[in-house]
Amino acid sequence: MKKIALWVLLAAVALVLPAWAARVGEKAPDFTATDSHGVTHTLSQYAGKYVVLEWHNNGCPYVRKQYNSGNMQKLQREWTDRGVIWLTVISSAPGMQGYVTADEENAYMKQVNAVPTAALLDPTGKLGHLYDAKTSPHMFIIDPSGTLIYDGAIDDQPTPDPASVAVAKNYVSQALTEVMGGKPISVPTSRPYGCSVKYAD
Amino acid sequence: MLAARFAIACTVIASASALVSGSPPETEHLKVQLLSDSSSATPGRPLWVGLYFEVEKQWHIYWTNPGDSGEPPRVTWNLPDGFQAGEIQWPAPARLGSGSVVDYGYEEPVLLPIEVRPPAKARLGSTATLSAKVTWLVCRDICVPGKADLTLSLPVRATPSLPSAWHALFEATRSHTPRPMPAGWKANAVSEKDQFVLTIHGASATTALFFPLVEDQIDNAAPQEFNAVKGGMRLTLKKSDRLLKAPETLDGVLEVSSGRAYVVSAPVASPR
Repeated sequence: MKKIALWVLLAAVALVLPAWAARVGEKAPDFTATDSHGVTHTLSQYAGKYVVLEWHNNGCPYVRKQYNSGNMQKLQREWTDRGVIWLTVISSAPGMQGYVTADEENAYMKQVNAVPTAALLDPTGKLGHLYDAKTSPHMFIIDPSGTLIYDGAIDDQPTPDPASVAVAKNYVSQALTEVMGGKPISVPTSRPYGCSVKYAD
Repeated sequence: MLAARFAIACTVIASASALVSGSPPETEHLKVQLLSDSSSATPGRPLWVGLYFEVEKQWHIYWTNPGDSGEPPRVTWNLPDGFQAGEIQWPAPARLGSGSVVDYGYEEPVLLPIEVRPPAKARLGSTATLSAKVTWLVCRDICVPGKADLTLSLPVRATPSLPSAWHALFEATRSHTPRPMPAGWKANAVSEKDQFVLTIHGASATTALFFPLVEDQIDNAAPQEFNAVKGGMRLTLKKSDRLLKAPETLDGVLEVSSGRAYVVSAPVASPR
């Protein structure tokens, strides 16, 4: 029962933290972040475009499933070709799995042929906490008006098994296809699956 | 109470040998075995088997709803003709993590019991070999997927089966397995703006924890506010940001201060 007592204590501490929220149907919180080339990006600068946020950790088996199969790179290429801003976000704290320096991230992207618009380095976890990103991967889509329209998993196969990529229904592609076709998004939220984001705190 | 439970488990391990053929597979960061509660199978009589996971210190595996990250163990059976296996009966988990990512799982040795039903026509004197393909995710600060092929052989006998060397472990696990709420308890929930107020009428406890069985009903990382109220108890649970519409029922396991765990399915009403 010590466990419960501890939880109550932690709960009391958590109450004083701000209630960050990025909710589907509501305005997505604006942010400022720096990419692996030292360039600053804000969400507001991309008003008028669709923006995808992809939480990343290159050591996580669930992320490796997507990158080793080439699936994530394919999605990045396909959707950026269609004018979507694709931002990979790395919120691993220094010393934690997935943490990379700018040079390491650039070398990694070259090695795996990753082609996001940019890779945002978020070692303090500020952007991760702003969106309450839970896992790698955890995917968000923001529409041209700045509204959050998708929050959840990359697909419907919550397993690191590489064979699952071929049979997966990709929620990000589905949502973008539907919304660009003027249709309602059939799956606007799902449980993000994967490794926990390796925050400092 | 947990300590007592694991003391039992450890005693059992020390004295066990009968049904385990060879040593358990050594996998990364955990050991897993397929065990039986009884020493034989009886035609037409259900029996209990279980996956016994022993994780390395500081590592964990996950509950049926893993929470914010992770993935529960899964099993695919290859059974003799006519044998059927039920679902894993998940013991109540522990909350793991204290920041913005909270998971549900097991950091201590845990038995995941599964009921197996031999057919009435199972041949006496034969040996029933149960084969399980098991996959899991084991995590500390990093996560490692694992898998094992496990087998368990049981003689098929007409006489009532005797307890196996693992019986005490199965008994200890049963005492911690979520059960239906007592007859005098009644659960209901009210959906307010950002939270559910779950009331258990008839229950008395000094504290309680709710483990959601359905993903993305509640915010796993948010505090759960407990209040003893007249004739019962109340928990205030923050809704998940990904919950777009109030569900018809709030489903979960309630662990109360006695250490007992109960399955709760509370109809959700909107405030008038």
